Amino acid sequence: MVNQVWKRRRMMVSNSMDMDKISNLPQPILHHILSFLSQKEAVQTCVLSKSWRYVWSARPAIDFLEDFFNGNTKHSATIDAPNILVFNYEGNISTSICFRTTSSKWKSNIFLRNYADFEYHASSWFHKLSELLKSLSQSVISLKLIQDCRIFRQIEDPPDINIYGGFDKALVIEHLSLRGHYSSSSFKAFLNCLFRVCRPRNISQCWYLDAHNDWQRKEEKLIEFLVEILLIERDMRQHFWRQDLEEVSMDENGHEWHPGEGIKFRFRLKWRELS
Amino acid sequence: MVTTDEKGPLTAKKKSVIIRSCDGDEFLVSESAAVLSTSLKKILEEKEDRLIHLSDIDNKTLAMVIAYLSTHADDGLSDDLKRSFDQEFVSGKEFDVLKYLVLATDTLQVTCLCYTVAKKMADIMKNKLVEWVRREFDIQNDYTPEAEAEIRRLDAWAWDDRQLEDD
Repeated sequence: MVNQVWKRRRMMVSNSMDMDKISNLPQPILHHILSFLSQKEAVQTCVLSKSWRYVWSARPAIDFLEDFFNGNTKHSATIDAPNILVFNYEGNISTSICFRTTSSKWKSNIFLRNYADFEYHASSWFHKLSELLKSLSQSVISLKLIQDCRIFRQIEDPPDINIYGGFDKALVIEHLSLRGHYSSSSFKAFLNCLFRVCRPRNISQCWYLDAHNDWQRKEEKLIEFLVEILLIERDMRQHFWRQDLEEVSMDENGHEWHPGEGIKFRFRLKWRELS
Repeated sequence: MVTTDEKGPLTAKKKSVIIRSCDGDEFLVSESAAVLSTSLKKILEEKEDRLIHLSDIDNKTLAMVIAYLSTHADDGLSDDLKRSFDQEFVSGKEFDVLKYLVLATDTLQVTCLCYTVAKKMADIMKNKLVEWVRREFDIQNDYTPEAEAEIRRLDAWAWDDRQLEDD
């Protein structure tokens, strides 16, 4: 008897759901699904039908595109997002962010581009990167960088270590994707600076953005540089972070671990527990 | 494809649980797999009941969830293998199947699978025009053309520079 009632109820539920394959899902599930879409795409769902008008507005994801704030002289933002799952950041880190959340499991995807004048403002760039990462330190961080670092030289070995957050305060992040112009020496210098700020558990090449054709050829080099720095060179004096790096391994053509993004290789780094 | 490593008949040491679907079929699941679901874990902690009746999950969906739990409870499998199992698990599944899966994982509180399935559902919708989504999911557009145009005008930025395929 009980079973019959259950079955009948279930049939009703499934019948009404079959009329429309998606709208009747519970709101929290719809919010969860929409959190994987870009803000634009999520907003577009508002015209699907009347019941979709405001569904997107409660998705637990925020796309913070700094371009939106161009012309706004206020360069700090406080974000209150109690149930956040995904935070996407894109810009030039000229805004300082204060993040408040009670969420325990969330991801930050940070996407930064640096072109011609990187050399000029590199020192403040690392400083701002460090600040941004610290403000998101409660999340699982993926950092994607597109750089033009051909002429980047090591910032004078470090007059004030605190500018970069210091060795002992470098933040462990989940993923670092790289792409751009580098030369062998500029890449070493760049990684040396970057590792003062953060220590990635995985390093790969982001490959899925279209750019000029000649980039691809130059980027073939990136993997060689990484192999050289991470796997071959053992000079402690050149690479201060070496003492914290316990293990490095490399996979090639690992499509299965990051599907759809066409990543060609991944380095896995195991860092000594930083206190 | 990953298969779980069967270690012969269940010994007395390895505890197991019986889970019954709403269709009445029963599934034998190791306790280590069952507790990956927060809801089942709670039930098992509260009472020593070895038979759990799930009144709103059907056979097909429950079998899939259990296959997932068993794979993830297998200590012999590396994280990479589990991750590729996850990808294979959702690939090629129809939206309806995913819908019941996401509901089941929500009920059972299997966070990782819920994440994987919801992401897959979003991937299906990604880069699609509104018209495609309406057609694919049989959503009845109950806006008047004027009302829809007004809403699009309010959030005009969301429809800027779009180059999406309507396949």
